[in-house]
Amino acid sequence: MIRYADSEDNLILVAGNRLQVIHHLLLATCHLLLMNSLSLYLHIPFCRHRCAYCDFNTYTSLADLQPDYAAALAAEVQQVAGAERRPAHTLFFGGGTPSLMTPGELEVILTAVHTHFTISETAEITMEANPGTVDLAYLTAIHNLGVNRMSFGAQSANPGELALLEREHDFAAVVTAVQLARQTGITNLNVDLIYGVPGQTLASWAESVQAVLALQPAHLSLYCLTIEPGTPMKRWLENGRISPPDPDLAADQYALACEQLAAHGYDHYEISNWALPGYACAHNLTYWRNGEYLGLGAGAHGHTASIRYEVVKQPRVYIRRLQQAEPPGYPLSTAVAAHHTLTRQEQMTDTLITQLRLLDEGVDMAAFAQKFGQSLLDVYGQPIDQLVEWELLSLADGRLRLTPKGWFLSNQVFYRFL
Amino acid sequence: MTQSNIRNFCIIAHIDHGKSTLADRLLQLTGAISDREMQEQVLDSMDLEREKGVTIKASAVRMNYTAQDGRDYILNLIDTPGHVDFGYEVSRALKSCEGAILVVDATQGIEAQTLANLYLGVEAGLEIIPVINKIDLPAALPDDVAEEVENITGIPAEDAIPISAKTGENVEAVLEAVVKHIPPPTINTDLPLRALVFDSHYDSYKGVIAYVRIFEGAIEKRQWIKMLSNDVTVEPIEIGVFSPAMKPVDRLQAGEVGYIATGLKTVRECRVGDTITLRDQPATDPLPGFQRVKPMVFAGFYPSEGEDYAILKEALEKLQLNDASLVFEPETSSALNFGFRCGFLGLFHMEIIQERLEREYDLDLVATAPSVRYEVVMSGTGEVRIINSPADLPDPATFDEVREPWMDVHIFTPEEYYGVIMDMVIKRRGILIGQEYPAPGRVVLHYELPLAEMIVDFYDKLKSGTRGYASMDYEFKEYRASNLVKLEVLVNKTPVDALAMIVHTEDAYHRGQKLVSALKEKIPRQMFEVPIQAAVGNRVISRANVKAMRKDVLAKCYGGDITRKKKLLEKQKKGKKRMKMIGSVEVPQEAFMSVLQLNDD
Ligand SMILES: Nc1nc2c(ncn2[C@@H]2O[C@H](COP(=O)(O)OP(=O)(O)OP(=O)(O)O)[C@@H](O)[C@H]2O)c(=O)[nH]1
Ligand code: SF4
Ligand SMILES: [Mg+2]
Repeated sequence: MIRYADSEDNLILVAGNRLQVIHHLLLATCHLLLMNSLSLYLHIPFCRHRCAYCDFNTYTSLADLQPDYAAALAAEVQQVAGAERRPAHTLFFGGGTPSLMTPGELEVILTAVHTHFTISETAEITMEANPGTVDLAYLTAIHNLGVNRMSFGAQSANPGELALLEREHDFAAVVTAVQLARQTGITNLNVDLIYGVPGQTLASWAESVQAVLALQPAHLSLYCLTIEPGTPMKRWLENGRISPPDPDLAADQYALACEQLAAHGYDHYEISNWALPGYACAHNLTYWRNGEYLGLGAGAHGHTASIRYEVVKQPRVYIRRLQQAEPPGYPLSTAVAAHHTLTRQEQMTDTLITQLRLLDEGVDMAAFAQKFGQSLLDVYGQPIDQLVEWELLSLADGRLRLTPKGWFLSNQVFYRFL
Repeated sequence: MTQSNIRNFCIIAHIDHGKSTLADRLLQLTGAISDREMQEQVLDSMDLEREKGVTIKASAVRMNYTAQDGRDYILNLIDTPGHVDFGYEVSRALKSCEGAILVVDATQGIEAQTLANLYLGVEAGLEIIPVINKIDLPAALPDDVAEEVENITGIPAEDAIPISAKTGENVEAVLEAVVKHIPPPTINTDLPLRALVFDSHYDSYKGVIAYVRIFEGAIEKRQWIKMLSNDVTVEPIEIGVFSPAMKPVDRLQAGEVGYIATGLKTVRECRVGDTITLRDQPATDPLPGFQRVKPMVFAGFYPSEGEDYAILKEALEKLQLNDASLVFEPETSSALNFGFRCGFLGLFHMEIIQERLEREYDLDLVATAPSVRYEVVMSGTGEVRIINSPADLPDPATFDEVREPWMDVHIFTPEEYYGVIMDMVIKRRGILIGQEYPAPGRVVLHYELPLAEMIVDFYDKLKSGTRGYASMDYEFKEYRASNLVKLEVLVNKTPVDALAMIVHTEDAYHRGQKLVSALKEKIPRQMFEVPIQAAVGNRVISRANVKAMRKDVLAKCYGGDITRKKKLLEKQKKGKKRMKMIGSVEVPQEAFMSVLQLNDD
């Protein structure tokens, strides 16, 4: 039994056994340590070819802009940072295909980051890469620049599915990329897979999962395909070239993955993410703890100082905008498209819909009460009761969590907290 | 000015043959409206009319015209709607006129409502002036159509006036014919005032505006009036004429058409069909009033948001001010809570009212499937109960018979579609009564059909089955006993009153099955499995299950873009909010209209 005092000096009881107490203390310490440390997201909006399901902010014919883009990104880093050299503990190059940036271009960006932020020794520096875009020389170069984690978009081990998704690589390229990365010393590796793909079966999914497990990555992200408006896949769906994915099959695929990955020692720590012990993605944890991160680069999103903001999407506009002199002030650069100061209500909502994604951590009710001066149950008692009754949420040892049934019905939970 | 200079006339035609366009030209020619103010179908002032290109309400307008004989005339024109649902507007307009221009489309020829409206005009003793319109079109066959008109009306083909309302060609001849052939009103200004209310609309400043035709006597401004049916007396705010905007005058007298802004706040005080007289020198007898139109189609209207009930009530009351044929009474439904059972002239009328409520009053409505009014003869007492809502049909053990309304239907069609139409009608329990060949290659089929079989999609099917060539007119014939049962729907074992239907015994099984599968598609998966059943009495005749939801996740949240995710959740939440609860099952509003999609032919 441990006692915390909340803001009004009332005593809140948090029950639990010793182990949990230690766990919570550890988490609390981590939070404290990281409280003033940022995560930086850097968006690279270039791809060679647009995948059939993709509606990300990426462009396939702007490769010529890359050098200017790198310079603009460096300029944005400087604008946003100001003179403070704030601490940051994670860097994430997302895309697009960040691995299309040359080591030289990346160096421009990273130099700016190191100049204007204090990057801890142990910082996690991730780069997303498409298998087939990296060779040994490249990986060595970026490892030397400080990249210590790679995330490979494998998506599937099935040639037919890869073709339908219009991925430009085969699974052999994934195997090679993983081997090469390890060879250069980047051992912290994530692999992405997609299920719920039209035509995908439970068996073909099991094969993809097995194939990836054979590579023993430290981290796995498994996403359910959503067919977004404006994508080729959406058109194929509308003109009948493909049939809509069966949600029940997707549920079975998810269940199968949960089982297989658990059997291989992976910790299912977030709805769509699994990691070997100690390898949870620190950068993404910032998002899921509703923490503070800066979004840099075209179309990036950031959240800090109770502000959410969004950077202009078009790379050309982005580059042009960064030639302007006067930034509006932290955390905004001259390339910001929109920003919004969060209301208390929005912050509560964000806390719930991000933190519930963390399956074991969930929402710490004491921390919630501390932050908002109101207990979680006072604010959301009604939806929580209903969701507990439906067995989508559980309340135990001072935490609100999704149940295994709730993992795959999370929207049903989240929208009730808006 | 002497009375013989007045001409009161209306324009009648089948829908879309060009009444409103012709009215436009007449207004322009007489200078009632300047070329600058001119817009297409000026008299169709409602947004909805303009958008659909269809006249919904009759409207009146006064024009000054100097004829070729050198004399000045006052022409009062009443534009009328062509759709069969609004036949009552036409009949009211006819009562206020001495003549009618019968417009026939030169490319279509005579159609069902041309005939129906012509008969109404003849019955009302009107002088008919046939006009063949749209002669500018390459497909126009004015001579053939004039001959058709002669065959049917007996008016010599050479007297029909060929025009193009669009280009204005020969429209002047129409005005000349009006002046020459339509008799001036017979008038008597010495008698006490008798003014017939042939229409009305509501104005928030001036109250109920009565559109009147003065038959006898005269009214000066500020003279107190009295409604003959209910003895309501009031000092009108204003009297005037339509030119075409409302223009106050000091005096209206026998023979004239105009308006009286009564200042009255409810339509009950000033009904269409009533006679207005003066309080101080009252007439004793009302003019022959109009028949009260009876609503034929009923549906429940419920606000999507329960709190909008009061707004809906007020909106219906307001619409009723302009539309005497709309009736409504409060109704409660276990699924939809508080709303109104509304009666309409037909499905088109229902659609118009629904759109006006949603548009003009910004309401979001759930409408139940339309049904007809049944008569139930109770056992023992022989008492006849009127059932406006299928859910109200009593236990079959307690009544001797159920009667449903049957209609007299005339379908006017090129001969080649005879077979198609016959099939459609027989599938709907219709009976062929007779057929006539009014023109070569054309046939009028006379059927009797249960109204319940017609209200859903008969007209659409008729149009699509005959590539738009057939047209239809119908009127109520009588109530007849039929072998009818109540088909109930149970969602998660709970009967849903708003989904109940009354169907012919032989159709029950088939309809039940279709309804269940339609609902299965419309009801989204819930957190638990939901059985949907159709039952007659206690017997379940069809069943399907909506499986429990297993997956509802979003794809990758990219680069911390929470905003986008929240937008999607927001949308989901909004969708849920619009759902109606049946027990603990969330049912989308469209599901309540599923019944409409049951016909498969
Ligand atoms: N070419 C041509 N088109 C015409 C003529 N007269 C009317 N139209 C068109 O026919 C359509 C119907 O005309 P309306 O004047 O709205 O017909 P209506 O009889 O008032 O229709 P309802 O009020 O719906 O019964 C419109 O698209 C007109 O533009 C004409 O003389 N020539
Ligand atoms: S690689 Fe990623 S960002 Fe690029 S097109 Fe494919 S899915 Fe989109
Ligand atoms: Mg019209």
